[in-house]
Amino acid sequence: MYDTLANAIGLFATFQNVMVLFVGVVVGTITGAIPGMTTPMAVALTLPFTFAMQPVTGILLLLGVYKGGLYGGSITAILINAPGTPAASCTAIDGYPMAKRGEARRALDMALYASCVADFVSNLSLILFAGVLASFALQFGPAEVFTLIVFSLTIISGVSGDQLLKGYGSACLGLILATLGLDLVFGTNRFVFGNLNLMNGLAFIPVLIGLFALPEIINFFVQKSTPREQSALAGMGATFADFKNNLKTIIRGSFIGVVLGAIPGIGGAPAAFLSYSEARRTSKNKANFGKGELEGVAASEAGNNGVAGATLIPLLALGIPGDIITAIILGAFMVHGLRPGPLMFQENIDLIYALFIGIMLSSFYLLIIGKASIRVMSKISDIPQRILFPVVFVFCVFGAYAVNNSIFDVMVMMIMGIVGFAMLKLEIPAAPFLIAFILGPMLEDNFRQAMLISKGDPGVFFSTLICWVFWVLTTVVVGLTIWSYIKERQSEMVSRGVGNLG
Amino acid sequence: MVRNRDFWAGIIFLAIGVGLLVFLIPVGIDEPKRVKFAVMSPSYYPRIIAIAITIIGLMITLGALAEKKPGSSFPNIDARPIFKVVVVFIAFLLTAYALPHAGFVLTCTLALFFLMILAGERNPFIIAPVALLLPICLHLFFAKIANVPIPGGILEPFLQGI
Repeated sequence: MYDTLANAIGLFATFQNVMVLFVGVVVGTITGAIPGMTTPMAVALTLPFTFAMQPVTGILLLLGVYKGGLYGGSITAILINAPGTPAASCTAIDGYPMAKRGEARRALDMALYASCVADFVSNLSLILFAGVLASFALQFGPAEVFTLIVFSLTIISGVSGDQLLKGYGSACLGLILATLGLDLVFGTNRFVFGNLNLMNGLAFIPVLIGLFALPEIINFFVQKSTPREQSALAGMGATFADFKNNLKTIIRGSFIGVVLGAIPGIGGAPAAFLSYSEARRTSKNKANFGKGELEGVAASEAGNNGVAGATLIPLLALGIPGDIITAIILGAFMVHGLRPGPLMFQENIDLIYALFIGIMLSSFYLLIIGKASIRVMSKISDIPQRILFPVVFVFCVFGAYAVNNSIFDVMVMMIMGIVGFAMLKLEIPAAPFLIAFILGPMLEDNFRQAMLISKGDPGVFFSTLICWVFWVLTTVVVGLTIWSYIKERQSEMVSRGVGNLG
Repeated sequence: MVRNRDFWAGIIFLAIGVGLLVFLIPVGIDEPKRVKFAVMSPSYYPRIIAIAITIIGLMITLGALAEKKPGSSFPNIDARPIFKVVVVFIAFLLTAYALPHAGFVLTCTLALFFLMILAGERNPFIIAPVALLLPICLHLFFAKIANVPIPGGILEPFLQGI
């Protein structure tokens, strides 16, 4: 054991490895912060540079970009309401209202602290519980994932505020939009209407940018005179007390991220939404969620970054890539003649330990790089809106195009912007639309896969303990939501009655 | 005003739900010849969602009608900013249309000029550098560093030379 550790330290502790990891986190943070530059894109672009490197060095570079990118996505989500990744859209729900109040730095600080803690917890889980989590993750079939997504969707009630019915309607619109494209089972067209661009469905990023960033821009041009409300905490960073108050939420979100990250194909978005939902459910400031609550930023970033180390569990322990990024990292392993899986723990244990050391160091790098960037980045929200909004619009145009090199995506972004503006004016909450649009494909695919396996028997959704646990949790959350909605309506009617009598 | 918005939101949900059930699903979803179980049909899941949208739309509309005070009428959404909205929408759509023809740099430069002036910025020493330099910098970043083939349009020869 000690020999292995000594060998791993020897393998890792070179100037090149330490620097390359640092460069990776910097590149990831910068690219993650540019709308349209997704983390998978940044990792894929970095891949060719690793070919000439030693295996440990090359893989550390990719891991650095990955970890930096996860945090970087939250920067634009908070500052300009243009999330760089689907998971970061959850951060935008509370981060952007905070930035509008002048608390961008506080939100960015908390996002960074939550990211670093979650990343650290996730890395530690990877090192200590890879075997246990991998075997647990393997118990998740389509039925279990379906019930998990159903439970994740209960957050819709939370983000709908006092517009519960409109929130459900908005979520249904998101679900229907997610069905566009080819049917996964039969390969037939759904709402394609002869347009080849629609065959793959709508890309996430243009829809996210269109729905979040553009309505703000249109609204600015329509009501140019709206002054910025400045809170007493404007310009200040997050304090140690803020961090301490949110630590419980961050730790809980980190573990949600770890468990969901270990399941192949789940990714950061459901983890972020579930963590956010749990934070809201247990918070004293429930009503402030969605209006700029610091705990909301902490929860979503913890969930999002909690998956970072955990997604490597199925990759390293079983050789199964859980998402696009780990698939690219698997490619990097294979380019260097390595095959992740159980055998790798016997044949290349030094390399695995060296990667673990590098992964732990990346959390520390993330803190330093993030802290240095926040001071500069938070100034963006001080730029006058008459300059900032046109500039953001141009960023959005480039960003939407860069995802698939498609003008069609720019068009989709523009149309979603118009839809988002109409929703804003009609007080239809956009967050449920977005959550349903992201989780919708997973919901339907797993539902149909489970039905295919069970030959049409719906009993498959009640066949395992995991399914039952999620059904019970869903029932409890939905029941509590309906109960509190009825109570609110009743007290509203009572107060109105008293008002009329007066 | 709030109930007014509820009424229109309900009507829109209702229209989308009915539109999906009556037209979009039957016409827009190709059904395979043989489907073993009804739940496996490509239209099963969209149909359930469409029904849900219709029911939600109906509930919101009826809720708004129930709250309506006698003598008040609904269709009075504030029309003053509509002109501005239309101008911004046209600017957005023109930008999207011009991108493949004029190229990203020229289109975004013109869009920045127009939008900054529309937003109330009057200082030429801010407008000119931002409108000219930002699209070129973004083009160079995406085209040269990220290897994204950004259409250069009529400025392609100039941009290749940079």
